[in-house]
Amino acid sequence: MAIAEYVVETLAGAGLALRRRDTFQRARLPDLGEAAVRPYQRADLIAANGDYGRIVCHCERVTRGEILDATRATIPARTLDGVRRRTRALLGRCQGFYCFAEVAELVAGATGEPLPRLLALETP
Amino acid sequence: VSEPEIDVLVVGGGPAGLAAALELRRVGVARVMVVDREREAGGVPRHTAHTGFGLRDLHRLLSGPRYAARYVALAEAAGASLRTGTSVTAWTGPCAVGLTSAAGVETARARAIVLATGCRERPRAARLVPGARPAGVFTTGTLQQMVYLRRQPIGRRAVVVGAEHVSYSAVQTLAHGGATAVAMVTEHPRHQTFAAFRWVAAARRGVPLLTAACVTRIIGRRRVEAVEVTDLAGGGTREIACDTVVFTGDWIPDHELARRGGLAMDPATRAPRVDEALRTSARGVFAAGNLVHPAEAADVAALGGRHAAHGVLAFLDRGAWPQRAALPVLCEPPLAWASPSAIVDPRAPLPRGRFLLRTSAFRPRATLELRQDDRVLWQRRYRTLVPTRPIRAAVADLSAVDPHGGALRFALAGEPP
Repeated sequence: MAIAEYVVETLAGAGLALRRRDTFQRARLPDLGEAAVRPYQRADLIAANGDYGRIVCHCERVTRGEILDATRATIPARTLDGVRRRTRALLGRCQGFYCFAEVAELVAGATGEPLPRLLALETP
Repeated sequence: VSEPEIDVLVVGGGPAGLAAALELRRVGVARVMVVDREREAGGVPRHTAHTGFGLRDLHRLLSGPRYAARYVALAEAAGASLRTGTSVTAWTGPCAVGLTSAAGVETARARAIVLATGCRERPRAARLVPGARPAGVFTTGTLQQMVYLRRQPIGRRAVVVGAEHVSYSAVQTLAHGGATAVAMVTEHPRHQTFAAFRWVAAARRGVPLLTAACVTRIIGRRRVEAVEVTDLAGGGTREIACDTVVFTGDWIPDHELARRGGLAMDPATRAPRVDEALRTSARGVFAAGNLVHPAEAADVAALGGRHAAHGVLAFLDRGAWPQRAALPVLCEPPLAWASPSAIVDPRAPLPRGRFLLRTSAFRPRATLELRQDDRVLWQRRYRTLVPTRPIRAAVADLSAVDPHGGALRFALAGEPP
């Protein structure tokens, strides 16, 4: 990315010695678009893990598997907004009418964040 | 082409879907399958903890969760097969759908399909309420699930948007969850529930009702801190401190599957257009419950499901489907919608012998008329028409309807066109 190249140049110009790290783990975000086949449509994924067949957010067809994946990613989602942006859960036409409580419970369980904090009733 | 493996597929295991399945089994349809996307069938009553369910259909008074559980038990005992945790994701043919569940991806073919997908409340985003987007903005349905199904924390001070029946249910749910409703806000000049229910839920607790007012801004960084309320008459604004906002009512049918199937839609209800037998525009596809009248009480939805079952049975027996396009049933303002939204056979019975309507504004001493072209086919006087409350038009005799005439129109006498 051009911005990254610019930052690298600027940092080098500012006198910081930069080395390539071979063990670097790339952060990969799931494909959120409709162009590719979504997990709820994939028999192979569901056969390997039934959670990809358990649709939690019905409007955006986000499965339990995808929400759990978001909380376990290289850079894990720790908040409901994070899960929203990673998975599209809660962002559909019903805006959580059907699934908010379930998503909140799922994310609280997976991240270990207590619910009052996840729901911003307490400051972290 | 092989025979479908199911006689009737019911999409949605709420009161309407379960009642349809139960009735189909009762009249002898062999293979009835209900699919529900939630882990438990029962629909919205699962998380509506107050009483008042079951009077008109089961002839007993039950709480929402007991009512839901009873319908599940009745449908199962009657021999309907119930598949929960199963989503209908697509149409794969005229009476065939794609399913996703933990068991995998499948298709199901049926001789007839009943859509009973229910309705939901209009969320903040769809009401175009400006301001910040902090946590703490819910609908009643979400709030009920948080409080009654999962015992989650819901904040301390809430503003309830709306003053219809469900809004007072939200006030009760808030109290049950340890929060106080600090205000109710409605655009209408008065509340729209029954006085008794209002007293039980809100008036006794001293919840102020702000009428002719509207939430115009949500304030808060991480969590809601306040809402701005605008007085619709004077234009003045005030801020009310709160950590929770509940948007209630203003129902939208969950019509996604109907639209995907290309069914003809009724713009007033936003539901698939259904005739007196609850047939949609697609051969073999029926729709019932709060999908076609968002929203009525659960027992009315269930009775709609039961009515649809008889239409389905007639179709399975005779294979007959209307050749002629249905006459649409339309509404003139201030009437908002009418259901069923079409008529094919004027001599066939309506669900519960009546049309259900809504008005968008209060009208005292109104005369409701059903018209076709220049003729008034039916009229009745009402003491008051109240927004969000059911208006029942028991048009006993539709024999004067001209099947080749124009659309049927409900209107109020003396209302400017």
